Amino acid sequence: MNKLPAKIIIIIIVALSAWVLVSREYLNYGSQRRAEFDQARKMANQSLMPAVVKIAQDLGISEKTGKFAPQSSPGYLLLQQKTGEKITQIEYGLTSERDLYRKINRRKEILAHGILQFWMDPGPAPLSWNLNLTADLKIRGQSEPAIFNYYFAPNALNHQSPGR
Amino acid sequence: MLIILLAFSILIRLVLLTHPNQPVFDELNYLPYIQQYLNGTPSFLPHPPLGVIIMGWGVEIFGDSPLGWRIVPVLMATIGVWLTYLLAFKITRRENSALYAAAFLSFSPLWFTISRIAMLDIIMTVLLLGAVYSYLNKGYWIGAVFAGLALSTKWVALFPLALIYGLIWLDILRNRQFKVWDCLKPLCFPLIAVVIYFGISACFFKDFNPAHLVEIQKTILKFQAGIKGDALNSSPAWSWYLIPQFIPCFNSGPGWFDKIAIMENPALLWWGIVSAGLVLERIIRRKVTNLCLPWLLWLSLTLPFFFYQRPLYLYYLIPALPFLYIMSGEMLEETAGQSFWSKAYLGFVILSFFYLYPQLVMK
Repeated sequence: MNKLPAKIIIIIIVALSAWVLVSREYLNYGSQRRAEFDQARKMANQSLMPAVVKIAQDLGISEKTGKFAPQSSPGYLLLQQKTGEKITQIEYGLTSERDLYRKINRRKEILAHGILQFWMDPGPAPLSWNLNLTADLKIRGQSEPAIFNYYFAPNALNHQSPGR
Repeated sequence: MLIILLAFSILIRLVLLTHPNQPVFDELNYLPYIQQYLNGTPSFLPHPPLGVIIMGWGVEIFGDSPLGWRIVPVLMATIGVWLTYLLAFKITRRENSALYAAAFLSFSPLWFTISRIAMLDIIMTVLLLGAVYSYLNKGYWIGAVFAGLALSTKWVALFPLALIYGLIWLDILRNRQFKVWDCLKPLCFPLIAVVIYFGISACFFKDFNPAHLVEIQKTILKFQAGIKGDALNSSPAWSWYLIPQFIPCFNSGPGWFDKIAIMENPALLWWGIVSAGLVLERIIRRKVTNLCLPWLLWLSLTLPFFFYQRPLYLYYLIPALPFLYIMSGEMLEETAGQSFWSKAYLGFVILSFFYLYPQLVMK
């Protein structure tokens, strides 16, 4: 490649990169996203987290540490009892806290002990909630703990139709 | 010029390093392991333990504080820039190419951000660079040590190290070095690496039972293999080189709010891809062999991700960056030389770094 195509390629790359860096949300996600974040966190604090705590209590998992540890991700809850030896992963798509309860409750009989870790991160626009419920739980029969990952849309917290 | 670049590289990483003063992103995962290790009660972690041990040194020296958590990755990232320069110079024999490669890595937003977070990726990459540089200088023994250290940090080092090992044997066959001593070196290479790997694991867990150590490896494998499906902010490997996925992460608590942006400058990745294509053309058509190594190493750290059936994140690109930018530097020097256009491109990379800087330092 001589210097002419190199020049053309560099011009194209620089121009396209400048456009991407300016036009994408790279520099604009600050204030707007913060407002969304705070709103969603408020919703989570008011409705979702108490539900999860109740689920954990119903499952017989005692809360040893956590609640909303301010030094960690918002809505961080660590309910720890025992560690399991092996890990597998089960994923569900959930639409509401009722669904969350139902799906965990359905597995209630196979849950013996473990770590229940619950944390939330807001995602990129359109805002979606990543609700990871990591449950290192021993499943009777298979002797395998499980990690549960749940993905929410924020308005699901208000029992509206999921996603937007 | 290199000294200025390295000094600048470490300086921009140290500025605001203690902000946020709370754990961010995957620090939430790794800091408990570091603390448990320093308290003498190490627990199972889903990676080999060397990264946690090394980051623990920072905590021991500077305390359980943001500076202590992050100082080791910062220093390692700067060493990585230096090693990239040395590697590029060794491969290309051109000062400008090597400086371009070092500058691209130094001003890479991805390399910058991850180097200011207590994570394993930068540490593993720098140890891998040490192994590659040792191999290029025929230092097989020290190369084997670095290989063991890199593997003891993250398993992804296995792909490029397997490649290096194959190249060592290829050198022997090509040079017809069939004396016992010549063959002993490559035979010892994996042996030393494996001894170091298990030695570090045994020291970390204070458990010298081989069966237990093997069981730990099986557990790590099962954990890693068990991560499936999609996850928020994950992105397929092919997309990393098109428009790299921006990973916004938020931390907040009463009265404070932090955000962190993990991203890469598209200009760097796009020129990198063009350069990889040009290098391939030179290897095939012009029989330019010196660029085979960075091209193959880049491929070994990129291609496997195309076959992973698990959530992938942009920062998995970190180990491939030095090799990609070595090719970028060489191709920029070769195609644009000292023209206005090479300077314009480098200027754009530096300018866009500072344009993104407030996001990268979480302000």
